[in-house]
This record gives sequence, structure tokens and C-alpha cells, in this order.
Amino acid sequence: MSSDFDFGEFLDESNQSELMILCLDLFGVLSKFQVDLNKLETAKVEILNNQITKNFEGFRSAISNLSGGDKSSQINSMKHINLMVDTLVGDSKSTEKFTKIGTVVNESIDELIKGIDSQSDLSKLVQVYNFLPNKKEIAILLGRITDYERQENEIIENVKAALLRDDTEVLLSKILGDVAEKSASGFISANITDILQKRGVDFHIAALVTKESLENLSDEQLKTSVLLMVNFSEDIFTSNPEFLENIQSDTHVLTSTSGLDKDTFDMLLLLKNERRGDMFDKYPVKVKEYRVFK
Amino acid sequence: MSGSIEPIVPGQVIFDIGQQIDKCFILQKGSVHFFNSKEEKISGIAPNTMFGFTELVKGKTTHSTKAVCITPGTVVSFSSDVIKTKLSAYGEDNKLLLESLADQLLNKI
Repeated sequence: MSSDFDFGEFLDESNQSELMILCLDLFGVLSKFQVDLNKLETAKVEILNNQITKNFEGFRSAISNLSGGDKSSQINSMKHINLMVDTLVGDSKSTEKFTKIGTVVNESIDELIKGIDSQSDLSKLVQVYNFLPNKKEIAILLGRITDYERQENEIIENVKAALLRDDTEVLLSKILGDVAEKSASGFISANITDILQKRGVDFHIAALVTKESLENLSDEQLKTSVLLMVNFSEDIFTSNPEFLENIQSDTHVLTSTSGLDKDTFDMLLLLKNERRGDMFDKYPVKVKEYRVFK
Repeated sequence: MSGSIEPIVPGQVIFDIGQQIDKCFILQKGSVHFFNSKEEKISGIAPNTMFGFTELVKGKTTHSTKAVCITPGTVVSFSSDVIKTKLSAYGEDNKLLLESLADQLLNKI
């Protein structure tokens, strides 16, 4: 169910602060290792009953689908809450609540780290670190590691150990490099990685390109066709629903991963014809064109 | 016709002169400047300000300014149909008042 956007209601900062407080309460519940289902249900209903929530269909839908037994719905809700909390204008009450929930979240971290057992546990931690203002770098590195979807116990144990250390960022960067290198062999040949790197693509990105994405593409095309890195916010899928379809019809998607800025994605694209970046002019995206292989 | 949250980055053109007005915006964080066809800055806005709708009040369907993000932040966007629906519900006197306010803004361009 969607409704017309009520900008008058939204522009009232006290309404925004009210929703932010409800979001923070729910995030506090979701950040626990053992989520309290009663508290979750109460916090969820409060958000769904809020007038501003009805103005944002994507957010409303994520919270509506939130379930105590479904980890992915919890991670998705945390992602939406992070975006909403970053967007809403707060006041002294919401600032006070943010500090309080920040303490709750910080207290949960050690238990969450020790309990890491799967990719979804790592994804939950990405959102937890994203929530904390001074942990965004960790969130980005951890997000990139989880993008590789490596299930090896050794990698998960190394990540756990890194998260419990003071030099977390240094250790995660090293793990990311190792994971990228290990993954490269399972993805594409060193020759292809070399072509992409010579065009200026970072190794971390080149190593993510899959064999399937290169089907029907010649080395010559990889060397000379227009190669772009497009960075965009996940909101583009709701603001410009045709975006993905246009990309798929006009380009070969070589890979995609989380971007450096919060809630953004990087997509490595090889154009099917010589149409340059103008196909992205109408979209809120950042485009980087790589040099031709020589 | 629900709203969307869109991060904006410095240099990003949110809308350009002559572009169809299909979305209106509320600046939540960051700053946005407006430029005329000579690339001269006409004005700038701070957070919690609605923009991108003034021409609709005058019955126009395209933007007469270029909106560029200056400092990173977030906008909330929503369909311009929301504004059009609101405007159609206004009485003649109110419409005249709004139009004269829009004139004042657009004459600065």
C-alpha cells in the first residue's frame, strides 16, 4: 500500500525526530545477539503506525516484512533504518536517544563478534558498524569481505580475530586483499584480471569478475570497448526503477560490489556499443571511464 | 507516489534547465546551489527546504534553473504530481498569491 507523499507532515522536524526515535529503538532491539521477539514486534508496530513511515514505501515494506525468525529481514531492516536515521532531521530528544542506543549497540558488539558463524552474522555486523559514527571504515571493509561470500571457516575466524583487535582496519584490509586473491582463481583467469588492471581497474574489483559475466565476450572487446565504473545509491532502484533494466540491455555487467560511500554500489560495466556515458546522464550516478588497453 | 531517499554528492546535477519537472525535492542534509543559463549562481538552500517546484506554480512544466549539489548530503524526492494535485485544490485567490510569489523568485533568474 503506498500513499501520496505528505511533504507538509514531513517538513515538520518534530515528526522527523519522532520517527528517528522509533527507528533507533528498533535498531537497539535488532542489534542484540539474541533478539527479543516481543520488543521487536512492539517497535515494528510503532514504526508502521507512524505517519511519516507511510511516505516511504521501500522503508515501510522492509519493516513490514521484518520477522523475528528471519535474519535476512532483520539485516534488511537495519540497512533501511541506517539510511533513515542518516536522513531524518533530529532534535535534542533524538540526539539523546542516539547516544543511548549507541551505548546499547556498542555493548552488543563483542557478543555479536564471538557469535559469528555465517555470512549473515557478518552482514548484521556490517549494519551495526554502519550505525556507529566512528566505525564506518570497518563497515566498508567488512562489507567488501562479505561480498565475496567465502564460507571457509579460516576466513571467518580471521575476521573474528581482527574485529576483536585494536588494529581492526589494518587487519581487515589484509584479509580483504587475501580473499580477493584467493577468489580470483575461482573467478576469472589471471590474463583477464591483467587486462582489466591494465585498463586501470583496481585488483579488488577485477578479481570479483565472474566467468559467467564474460561469456560471449572476446579479449578484444575487453581491451577496447568502453569500460565504466558506475557508483550509485541503492535508492536508485526505487527512484528510477528502469535503471537496472537499461543497464542490462546496453551493457555487460562484469561485477558489482558495495561502494566506498554508505549504501552505495559500484558496478563495472562494458558497453555493448560505442554509446558513451551519456546513457547515465539522467541518473543520479557517478561514472568513471577506464582507459583503453594498449 | 511515495518518497525516496537519495544521497547527493558534490557536483551532481540534481536537475537542469529545460528538464521536465517530474520530481520535487526536500534537502535533508548538505547544500544545493541554483544557477541560471549563464552559469551564474542565483541562490542556495540549507537543509529542510523544499525545492524544484516553483515553476509548477506558474503552470510551467520544465525547470528554469540548474540545481547542483555543493556539499554532500541527502535529498528526499517525491513525484511532482503531489504538488500538482495540491495546487489544483487551491482557490483562485490563493493561486494568484502563489503565482506572484513564484514570479518574484523566477524574476531573480
